[in-house]
Amino acid sequence: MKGDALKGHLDLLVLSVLADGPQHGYAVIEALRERSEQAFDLPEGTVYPALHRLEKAGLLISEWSVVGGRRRRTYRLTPSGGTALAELRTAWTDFSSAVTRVLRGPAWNTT
Amino acid sequence: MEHDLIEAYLVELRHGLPGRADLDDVLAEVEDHLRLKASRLEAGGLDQLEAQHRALEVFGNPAVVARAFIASPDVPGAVPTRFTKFSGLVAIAAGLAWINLIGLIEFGLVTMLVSASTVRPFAIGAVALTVIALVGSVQRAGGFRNLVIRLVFTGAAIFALALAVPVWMGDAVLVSLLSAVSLLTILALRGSRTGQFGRGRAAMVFQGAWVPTIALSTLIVGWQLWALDVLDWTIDYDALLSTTGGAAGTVGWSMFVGTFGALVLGIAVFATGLIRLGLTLFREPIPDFDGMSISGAG
Repeated sequence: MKGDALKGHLDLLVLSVLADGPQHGYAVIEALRERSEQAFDLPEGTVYPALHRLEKAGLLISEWSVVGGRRRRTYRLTPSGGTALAELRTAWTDFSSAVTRVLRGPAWNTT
Repeated sequence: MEHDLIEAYLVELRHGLPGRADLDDVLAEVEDHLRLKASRLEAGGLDQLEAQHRALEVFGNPAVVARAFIASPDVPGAVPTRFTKFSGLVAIAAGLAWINLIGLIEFGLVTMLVSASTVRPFAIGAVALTVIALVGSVQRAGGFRNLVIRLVFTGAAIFALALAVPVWMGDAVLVSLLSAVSLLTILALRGSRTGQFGRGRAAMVFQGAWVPTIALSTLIVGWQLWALDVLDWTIDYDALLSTTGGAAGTVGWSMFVGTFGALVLGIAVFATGLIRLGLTLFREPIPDFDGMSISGAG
């Protein structure tokens, strides 16, 4: 699945991954890949602007540490991020259910 | 390492994000990711060069990544648009218009063939272009985000209108207007932490240095007039300049070097700053990576 297909959904996915606990960007991207079973194929570098955007929106907070001589930035969900994630999950569930119903076709076809 | 692909990539990414306030953090984060990825690929059996190559391949083209970062500015709404790109061209035109004005002023001073009324239409044109360019730069900096920027911009607009009635305000308008638009530019760009404007901002700040220079020269002229016992607040300085033999007289020399010299220097620096700002605005790619976000989160 190319990046275009993720438009509008990347923030939800990133928030969802970080709901499991603080992680750095690399780990977030790895989690996205693993959880999607390699389905999401987008340039890894484009995930970082999304992380920054979410942080500016107050949904994430980050802190720096030094690991192996390199600076590393770790992100975690804020309370606002948790609320936003819950809302986005509900919206996505409603949306995907509606799409599924449409794709399934009229009810009389299944009887 | 003899050939560090990651280092080269970071240099390229840096060029794609010139002057960004958080550039060091962005590059540190990207480097951490790339080196971690490469080391894991190496552990999986790839040689160092191949591992770096693969890590960079999946990370994305630096131009694409840079555009994604530009679309995620420090200040909400501070992104390049078609208008900011257009205003870059206008800023270049404004800079050239100011340089043209310098030529007219210099030519006029030397030959006495160019009057103030001849210069004013060109000044109005330069001012109009400058105001448009400044609107673009303010938009690029995130818009009229605070009262100070709004007030100063209104002041600049009032001065621009005042320039339309030069008989009333005379040459002082040009000096005042330059001060106003300079201040606007400084404030607008200082408020932007999105980078891209570092050099333009520095030029504009430097440009402000000519204002105290003019104040100093005015004091010198005042002292000279006082010493000559001809101090008169209603004095026609243009007439004085010509009747004292222009640059030949002490007063004329002071006025020429102090006031007009500083004015010409100020305009030159201002014009250069505008052209550099214009080039920056014009060269910026308009981000097309506006997806992958939720409403309200960006």
